[in-house]
Amino acid sequence: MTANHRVLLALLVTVAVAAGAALRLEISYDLSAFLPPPGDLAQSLLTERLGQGAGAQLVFIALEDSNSAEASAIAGELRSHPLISRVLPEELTMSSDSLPRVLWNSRLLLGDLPADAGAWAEVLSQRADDLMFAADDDTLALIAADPALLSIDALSRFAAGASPPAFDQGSTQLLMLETVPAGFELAAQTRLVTDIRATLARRAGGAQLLGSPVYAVDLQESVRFEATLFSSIAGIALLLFIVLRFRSPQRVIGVALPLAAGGVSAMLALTFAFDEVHGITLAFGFTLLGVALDYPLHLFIHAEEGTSAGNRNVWKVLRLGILSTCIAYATLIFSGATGLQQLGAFALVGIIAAALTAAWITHRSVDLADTERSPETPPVKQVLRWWPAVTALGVSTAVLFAFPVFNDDLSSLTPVDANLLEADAQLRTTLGVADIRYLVSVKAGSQEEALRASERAVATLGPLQESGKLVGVQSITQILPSRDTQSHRREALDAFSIEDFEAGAAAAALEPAAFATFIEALEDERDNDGFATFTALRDEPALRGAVDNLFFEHADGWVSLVFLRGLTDREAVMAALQSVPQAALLDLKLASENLVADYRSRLVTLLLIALAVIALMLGVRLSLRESLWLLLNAVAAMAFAAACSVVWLGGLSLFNLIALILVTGLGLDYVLFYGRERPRTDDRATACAVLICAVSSLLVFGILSLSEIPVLRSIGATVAAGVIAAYLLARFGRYANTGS
Amino acid sequence: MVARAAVSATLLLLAVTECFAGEPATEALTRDATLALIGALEFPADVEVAFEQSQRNPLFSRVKKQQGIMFKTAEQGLVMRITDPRAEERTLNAGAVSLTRRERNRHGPGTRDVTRRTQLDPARPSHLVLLTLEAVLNGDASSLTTHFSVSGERRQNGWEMQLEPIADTVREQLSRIWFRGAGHQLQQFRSERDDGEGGFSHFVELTMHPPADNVTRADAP
Repeated sequence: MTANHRVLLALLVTVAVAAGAALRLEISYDLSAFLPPPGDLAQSLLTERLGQGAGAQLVFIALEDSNSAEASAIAGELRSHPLISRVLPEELTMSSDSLPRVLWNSRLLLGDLPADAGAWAEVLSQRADDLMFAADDDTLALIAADPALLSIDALSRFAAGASPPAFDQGSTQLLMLETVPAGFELAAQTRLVTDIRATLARRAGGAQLLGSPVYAVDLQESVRFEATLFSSIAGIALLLFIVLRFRSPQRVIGVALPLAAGGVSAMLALTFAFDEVHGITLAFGFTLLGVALDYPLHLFIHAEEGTSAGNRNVWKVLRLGILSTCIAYATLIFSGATGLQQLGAFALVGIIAAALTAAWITHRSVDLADTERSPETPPVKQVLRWWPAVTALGVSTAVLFAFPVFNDDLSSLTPVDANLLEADAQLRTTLGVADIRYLVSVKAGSQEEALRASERAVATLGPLQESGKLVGVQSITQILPSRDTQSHRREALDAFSIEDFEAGAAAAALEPAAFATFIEALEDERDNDGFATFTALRDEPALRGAVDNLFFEHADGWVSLVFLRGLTDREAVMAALQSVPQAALLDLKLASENLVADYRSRLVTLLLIALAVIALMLGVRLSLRESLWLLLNAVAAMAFAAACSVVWLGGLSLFNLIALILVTGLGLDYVLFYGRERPRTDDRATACAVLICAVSSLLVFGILSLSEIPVLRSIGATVAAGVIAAYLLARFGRYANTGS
Repeated sequence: MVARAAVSATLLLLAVTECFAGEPATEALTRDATLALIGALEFPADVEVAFEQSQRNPLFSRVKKQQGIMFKTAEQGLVMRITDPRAEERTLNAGAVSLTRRERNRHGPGTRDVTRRTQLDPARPSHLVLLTLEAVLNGDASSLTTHFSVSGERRQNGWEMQLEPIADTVREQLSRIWFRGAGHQLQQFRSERDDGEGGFSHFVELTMHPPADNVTRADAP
């Protein structure tokens, strides 16, 4: 079989494997797969309920040059959309038919009835005023059956965001939508945002669309566009470089094939090992596979320019590089997070497949278990070889000590325009949206205990609402009081005085006899021994989403969340909650930073373990001194890349750490090739091969570093800096070694 | 108290005058003439007028009355500030009504103003009444024809417009709205059900814009 035949066959096999992978591939976007197991409740909320809740499912619309009538018409149109669960401002229609049945049936247990004639007079006078304003049949029937409006009051406190006037900003009208799909369900969110934009496009005035789902959809488009653009530019630049270097189509395909074969094999392997492959695994997996591009480059260049003796040694060196890279990537499998496990498995399978493909198409057999020791470099020259790496490591370490090394604030990586985020924050304040950073959690051993403690927490926050430190709260207990409270309210019905009610009605100029349905319901409730239950609330489709968000089983107990609206004094809330031991104010931003810090520690530990295992492997195959020298160079390149990232990017994010693993692999490869003992006649081939490998990596990652998207820029800059450092260290080490 | 007495006295005088005026001679206006008249009248901004509103419905033991002042501003729209028996403010603007009243704090002593806003739905009879009042006071004749069949007549001492709802579902609870005036003055606004219940508003010296001559010469009675 000729070389051309081998390339053609490898190409066909790659295409077949790619087709197989594509058929089986199910991509997921659940970011929680990339997070470590949560340590506490706040981290659980972040990881397990990611994409749901106060912030992630809200879309805001600002209609310019509009009025409330038009806003109402648009809101009505949007309410019929199957992916929208709620549009605010909404009318709490004064009609019992519009209320969830479960709330209407248990209305007398949802609040306290007035206690005496005076209190009844006050409440009924308000109803009389309501009737002066709107007295159609629905309103009359509702007030006749629920004169204290316990049902409407409970639902409005539970459901309300801002008071409705806040939505009317003069010539700008605001609308707020709650989406059915979670924030990370991008396909559904894209459909929804497209439909909303189509609706708004039909009106004459301008409109601004804000909110996490909108940013996610727009970002998806811009990330896809920019990633495609930059990948294409990098790919074309790389292709041109390789074409210019080899001037042979077969060689160009031969260089690209191992990478392609590695990628598709890894994808296929993941489809068998996991039900779904994460989108991030694919994106970063191909980044990590970038090192495999070097294998055919080394082999082809040595085949072209090297001597036969030199060529025989190429695989020995390459084998060490492949093994080191495999060890580094394999550590990710032990990370504890599914996403990282997938990433490790992808990179590991991909590297092995790429190496085998490169070997096969270049007529080489690969014996990864070859334990032949390489001859040691003479001691005198070794002294000179240490200084470049020691200097680079020293300078980089000094920089790392001088600047804050890690950036655990994920928000710093968002590519969303800062002005847009500010407008978003202002709108959330204006519309009294539940605070996305702070919320109260109440944790107890049983449903009933959690509800009772929530009631106490909500009660302690009441005075803060009247003093303006808090606009409002949303708690499950507003529509599901504890069994205790329901019992007390039922007992209070026994004390209901019809005389007091009639006196109050007379004072309000209302006809007591017209409230027969209320009196009848009250008597029925007195005789009733059932209670409003969590299950009954969940059975109500209109309430299920909100109920699940607010009250759920967690670990060995139940958690009730109390969302805070318009929080201006965090300390006051903390002080108020001290009287309720089961309640705590959660800071989700802090929790996310802690989670990222834990994750980062885990990655750093894995990286150190990988280095230790690589050192052990090198120690077995090479001398101790040689192993240390190789490792020192790889670590120095990594430290330099880290120092550059800290200075340029303001700190190392999680993405930089993954990029550093690649830098370590590349650094080892370069230094292994330059540092190996070889015939002097093989120098030109080695120098050429390593230079081309470095230039090709620098081209790809250098172009990525120009991206406007922080994650791409961050990975690109880190790897590009690492490639430069690794190449220069290998080259300086080489001069020291050869004395040239 | 003085203002309340003055309003009551004026309203009484109007009622007495009407009672003793005898059966007025009437002349039907064409639909176009009626709409032209409505379209030409507009409650001017920044003028305060007193009003009294009364209503009867099955939950009231007697006719309930409220008194207050009414004015219109460019920013707020039509403001109806009720002063008696309990303070309350209603603002009608662009098809929405805001209701502000002082309520007792739930969690402690004291009171605070609470505002509720409702987008008016013309399918609800009570909302349609408010939308109609807003349209009449803004001279917006065209929006009335969407929901009502309109007729008008000239009387010896004024004019009267009648609006009958087109939608059957609305007609079940609102048989008609009529409003009466003289020259440029809108004096009464009434909504009625078939069973005789409904709401009634009396306005004191509510002089519409433009000046009388311009309107009466063309179409008005």
